[in-house]
Amino acid sequence: MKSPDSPRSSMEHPRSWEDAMHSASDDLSVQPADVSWKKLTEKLDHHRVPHPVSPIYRMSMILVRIAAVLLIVAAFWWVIDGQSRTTPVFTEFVNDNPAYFASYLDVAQSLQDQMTSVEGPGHAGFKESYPNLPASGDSAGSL
Amino acid sequence: MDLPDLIDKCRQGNRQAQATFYQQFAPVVLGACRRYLPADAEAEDAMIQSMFKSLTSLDTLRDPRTIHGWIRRIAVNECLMILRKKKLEWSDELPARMPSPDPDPQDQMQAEEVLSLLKKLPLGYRTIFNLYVLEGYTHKEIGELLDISLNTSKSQLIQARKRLATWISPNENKPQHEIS
Repeated sequence: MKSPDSPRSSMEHPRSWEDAMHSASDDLSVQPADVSWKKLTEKLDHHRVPHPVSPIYRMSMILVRIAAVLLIVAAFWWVIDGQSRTTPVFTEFVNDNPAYFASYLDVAQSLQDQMTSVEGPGHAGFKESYPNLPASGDSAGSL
Repeated sequence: MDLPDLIDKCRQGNRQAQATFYQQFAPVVLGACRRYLPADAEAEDAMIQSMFKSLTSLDTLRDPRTIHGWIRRIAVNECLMILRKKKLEWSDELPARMPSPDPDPQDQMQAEEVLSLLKKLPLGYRTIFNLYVLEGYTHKEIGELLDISLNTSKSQLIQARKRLATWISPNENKPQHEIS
């Protein structure tokens, strides 16, 4: 707004008819059309929000937000859990595989054969090397 | 109901209070809008929008005693927003001859006369005259509001004054030999 110390040149000096216009414009009032109030109330109805916000309304909004968060967490959990149910566990996969089982048997058999071959000549050689050694312990009988 | 009570009830959304508020302020707001906007329907829409803004932002009004000026500013801003959309053409040309001081001052003028005189002015002149003379804005403020230069604002005001002076005091701009 116009500040009292704002400079005005002589060219901008207000005239008496301007003063008259100024005071007349302050009295200028025009009666609005009847429909204008209706339009305004429609706008206000559209804009209306609960005022003041009731504690029940506020609490219900908080609960709705918490429920939404829980729902999202549950949905994630369900998706992750579903994936683990459908993916086979490695150990089960190995045990169920017939090829693995067959190879296991082969390895067991070959180990047994190896043990037999090592045990035979080793025992004979030992007894020959130490003929006077008395047999003792758990294996005395077998010797 | 006094003004602070009325404002409080309007803030609470009381429809009866809003109706009273409207009856009290809408005619003045519409009068201000009519001064700025050429079409009556446009002014009516600007008034509705101004009243809507006033009623929905009453929480920002600190002192109820300043409500008249506060509503008027809302109305003026609303009108300027509409005028800015119209993309007014401004001319920086200064008139060759400035109007001389009023030889026949008019002390009394009716509000309707003011409106009819303003309506005859081109939109640019009218806007600047309204803002400077009737609202009391400075040229600097007008320049910022309308995004125009200081000189444009000044020249528009001079042109507006020249025309108004011609209409109000027809002898003022006539050559001296015609007057005598």
